[in-house]
Amino acid sequence: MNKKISLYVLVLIVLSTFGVVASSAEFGVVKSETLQVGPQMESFDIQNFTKLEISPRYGNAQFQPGENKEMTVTIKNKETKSIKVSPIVVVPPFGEYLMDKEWITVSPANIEIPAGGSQKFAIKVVIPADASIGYYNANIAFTNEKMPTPYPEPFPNYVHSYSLSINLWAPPKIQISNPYINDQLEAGKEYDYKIKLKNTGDKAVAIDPKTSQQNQMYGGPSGESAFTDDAITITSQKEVPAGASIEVNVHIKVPADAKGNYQGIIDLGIDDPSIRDEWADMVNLGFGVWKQPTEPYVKTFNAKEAAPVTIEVSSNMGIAYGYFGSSTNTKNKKDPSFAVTMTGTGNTAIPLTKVKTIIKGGVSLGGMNGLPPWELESESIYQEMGTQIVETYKVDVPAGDLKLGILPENTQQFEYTITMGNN
Amino acid sequence: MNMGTRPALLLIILAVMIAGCLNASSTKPDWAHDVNWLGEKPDSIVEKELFTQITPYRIEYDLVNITAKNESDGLHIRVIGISKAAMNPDIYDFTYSDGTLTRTSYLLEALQPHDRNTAIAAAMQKKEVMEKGVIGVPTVRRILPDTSKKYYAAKTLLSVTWTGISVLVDPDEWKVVQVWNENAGGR
Repeated sequence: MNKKISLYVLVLIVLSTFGVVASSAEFGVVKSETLQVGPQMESFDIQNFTKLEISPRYGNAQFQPGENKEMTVTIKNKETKSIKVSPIVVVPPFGEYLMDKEWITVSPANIEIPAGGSQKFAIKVVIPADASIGYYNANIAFTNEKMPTPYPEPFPNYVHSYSLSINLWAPPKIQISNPYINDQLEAGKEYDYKIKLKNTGDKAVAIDPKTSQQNQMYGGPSGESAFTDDAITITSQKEVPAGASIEVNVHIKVPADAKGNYQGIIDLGIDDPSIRDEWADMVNLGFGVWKQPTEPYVKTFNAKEAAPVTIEVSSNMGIAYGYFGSSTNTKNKKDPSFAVTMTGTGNTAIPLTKVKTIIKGGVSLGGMNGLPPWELESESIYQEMGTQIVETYKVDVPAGDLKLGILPENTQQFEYTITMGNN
Repeated sequence: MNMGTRPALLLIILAVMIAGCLNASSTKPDWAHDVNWLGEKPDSIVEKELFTQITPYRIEYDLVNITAKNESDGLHIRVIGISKAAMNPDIYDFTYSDGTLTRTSYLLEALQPHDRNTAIAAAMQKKEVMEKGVIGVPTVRRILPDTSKKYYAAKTLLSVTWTGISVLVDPDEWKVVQVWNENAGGR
């Protein structure tokens, strides 16, 4: 009996083992069916899509609120049978702004295109006057055929579609007179600048001008800013009335110990939604700080005999492309000059006579001569690269030690020559 | 008035009016208010061709001075477009030889103050320019599309140049598209 029971148990074990194997084999079949999905995807046959030529496939247009425009899309039926086309407007549920489907109408709304035939569709876009400024996207799907994807997509990709991008913009209502201030400042002095703002709109626009830290990391070649934003005081009204102009006053008190350069920004804080570029309501500040010397440079030389001496003092070529002074106000132009003195033994002043002043220029014939490659085509046209001032003094000196004193103004470099004897 | 002279007078008036119309329909484009030829003046075909090769940028020329001089390789023509709205003029050089007008050089600085200032402001935002600590007034020059295409795209760009550093600005977007730094050995 026990043997029989043992035999049954053994048979059952064997059978159950086969059963498991059999069920595993069944699983294997299921797996192979699942795997077949892959090959189905890979073999998706372009032949399965309706052959329609859509021209153009993409369009982009600029609108202002309240404007409307019409675009044309042509569809050619490349099939051997007629195709029914019923365009729908599909708005992707993402993006900066979501377009309202009602802005777009497509006509004809329904049509059958015969085999080999073409049909033009008019896409009319009407932007409401109160639409928000921004970028919008929409697709016009001409059939409901979608691109198959191995995974579910949150937004279908229509095979026969026209993609439309809209840049909805409005001209800024505030005009800024000078978007930058660039000047040479003297340490210890105070300066005033004005930024004019004009409101071309029919409503007052609020402003909140203040210094911005956006480019404080660039202090110029030394890497350190000549002064901090505390040196700058900005005063203005809080808004620009409709159709009016106001001035933003910028006062700079340059610290007495300031050296080097200052690069900064005034963010005007204009409350105008048509300004989308963050830099569009900013005024760039670029200042070089220098200190006017109060003591002259002294050159000691010896005259072996009493003789006429000619002294020539010249400023550097200066700012090769500009001048020493404010870039926003040419009236601030400051020409270089010199106070020249001569003293003899015992600090006796020897009178000098300024006999001439020369304005000397540097002229280039363009080309690659210190110019960027894109200005190469200016070759053969004269271009002034900068000017310098040369002052000539005459003095009769006695024999002995002499001191030439030169106090420069509005130049950061100068050269001198001392010619002894008649020339 | 003698009845016989009246038709003659009418004819003269008509001829003057036609001459006026012909003058009005001369080669001068609307953006050139006054054209002044200095030196040798070639046939009007050259002037017509010149006006297809020069154009002001967001500005009109109050005066266009054209100087022509015969050289061994053809007629050398310099065109200077002057606008009251701009600090500096536009200068173009051409040669005209065997019926072909070829632009040989240009230096275009006739820009509205707004365009000039905005280009400078855009350039000043560039890191390289800030680091250079540029001082003084830069030159702002218009670069024509056939030059610009080598550096960005075939469109009008503005070149803002201080000593040793220059940036190309796209005035449609006020965006810096190229920087040239002399000390960095080029672009």
